[in-house]
Amino acid sequence: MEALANEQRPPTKLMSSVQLTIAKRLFDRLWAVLAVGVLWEGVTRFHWVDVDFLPPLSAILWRIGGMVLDGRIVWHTALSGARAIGGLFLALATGVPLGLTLGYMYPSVFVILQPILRVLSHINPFSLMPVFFLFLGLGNQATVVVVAWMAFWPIVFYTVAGVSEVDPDLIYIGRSMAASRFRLAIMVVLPGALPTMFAGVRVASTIIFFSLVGVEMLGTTGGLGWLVHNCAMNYQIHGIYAAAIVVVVLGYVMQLVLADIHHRLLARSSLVDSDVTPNSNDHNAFPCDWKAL
Amino acid sequence: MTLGAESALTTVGTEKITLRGVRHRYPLRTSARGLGEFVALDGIDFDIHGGELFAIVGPSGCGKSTLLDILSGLVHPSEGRVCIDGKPVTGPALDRGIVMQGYALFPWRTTRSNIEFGLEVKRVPKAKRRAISDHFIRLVGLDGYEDRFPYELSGGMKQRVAIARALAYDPDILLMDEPFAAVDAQTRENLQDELLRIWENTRKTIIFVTHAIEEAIYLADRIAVLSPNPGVIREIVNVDLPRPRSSAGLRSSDSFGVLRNKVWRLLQTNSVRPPS
Repeated sequence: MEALANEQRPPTKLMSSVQLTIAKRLFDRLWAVLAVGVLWEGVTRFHWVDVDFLPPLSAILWRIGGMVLDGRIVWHTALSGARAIGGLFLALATGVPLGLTLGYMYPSVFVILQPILRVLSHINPFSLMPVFFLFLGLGNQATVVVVAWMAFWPIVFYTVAGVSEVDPDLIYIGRSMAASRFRLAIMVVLPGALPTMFAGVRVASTIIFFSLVGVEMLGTTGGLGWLVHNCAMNYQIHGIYAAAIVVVVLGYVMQLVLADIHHRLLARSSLVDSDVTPNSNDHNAFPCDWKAL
Repeated sequence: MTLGAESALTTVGTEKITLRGVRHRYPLRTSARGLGEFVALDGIDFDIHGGELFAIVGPSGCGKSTLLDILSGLVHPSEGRVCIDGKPVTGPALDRGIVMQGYALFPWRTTRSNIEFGLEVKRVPKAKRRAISDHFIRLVGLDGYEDRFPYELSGGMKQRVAIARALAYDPDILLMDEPFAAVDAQTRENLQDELLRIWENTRKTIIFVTHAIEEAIYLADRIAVLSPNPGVIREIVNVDLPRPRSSAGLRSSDSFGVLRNKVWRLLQTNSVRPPS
């Protein structure tokens, strides 16, 4: 009986069907991108647009290859990455404690402060950029602070929201064990709020990525934003598109990674009673998170 | 409430928990006349012996959960006194463990890590935590599922984790709030036998809130029947069925039927009785 059952559903077949599904989904996601690439190449090769303003895609990819080889892309990407991560960490280091304090310790204070926080969050730091530069000077410091300012707000608001969504039964259990308020915050509220907080991190990362390129054009030397700007100033049209494509790809990859982590967090914190039978392989039901693509 | 003669009789001896004149009311916001109040519990007066399995049954809204909240120390009664081992309850403490209907497992923690939660609160060192959680994983029969997350467990298994978590930090008293109400009938009977086995092994004092009459009779030494609006104790029924209680014959026996009928009738008269 058992041998028969194994024959009917050999594990290798299951694997290949999973791989097929993945390949198909990849194609579903990518064919539109490929089509745009072909279209781009076509209209430029047939000179339907001015190739001085829009060079062929192949030429731009060639340029990207060259810029990777001579190290320029790597250097500017590393510089931008370091600033983005620095800004994110600064925003997390300040926003999470504030969000926890307001959301968990003093929710009534949050209600009072909320209008002020909303107004502050709508300050466009680009309009205040000269002020930031006055206080912090041109360069890395000001850049990191400006992007951190923008990432700070979603992190605060999502932390407050996440804290308020923690299952009250979990807090009840923690309290019944006479855990102090601080231990409750660390052991129950923070991990319970984490999936929602991570949604805030995703929003913050997108904001950082978009704003960083702009900030780098204004007040720094180096970085991908500076690279785009510098190419534009020197009339290197290929360079503009090359840097822009690198920015797009990096942003997309970053979002993929963050989405994947987020889905894992959400799956783990799912409170739905799945009622899986212990011996089924249901915990393998998500071979990978392609839905995040 | 008079604390005279009766309390003098009961404070000596093996009383684990004593409730005297416990009354609890919630403020109510009625639409037209402003503030009102709802008396959830009134004149609750009883003792629970050490090592006893004490069930509380009653229709919804009779204050069963409020009573458990008061026993856990998370709610202070509006009036009256609750003592454990002769000392008044002032707040939650690790001498009481709680098991809830909705399991309330920490979804980001594995079976083992959930069970060790109370020990971490208690700051028990890691090696000792592991030894204790090993013991309780075996006690509730979850060997092999130590590293599963709650979403990978069935309802019955989740409740076993919750029971192990409540037992792990070694409280004297286990407070259980309709713990088996969310699982299917078969799992429920298994868990009842499991609970009896664990109780016989550990000799904890267990307070078991349920709305299922048979469950209360099958498990308990005594059953407090509550009636609603306001929540008062209708009667405390002695369950003089022999132990150990094995599932097969007991549930269909005459004495079981008599008790079931008695408790059922007490609950029935509650619902037709006009509010006093």
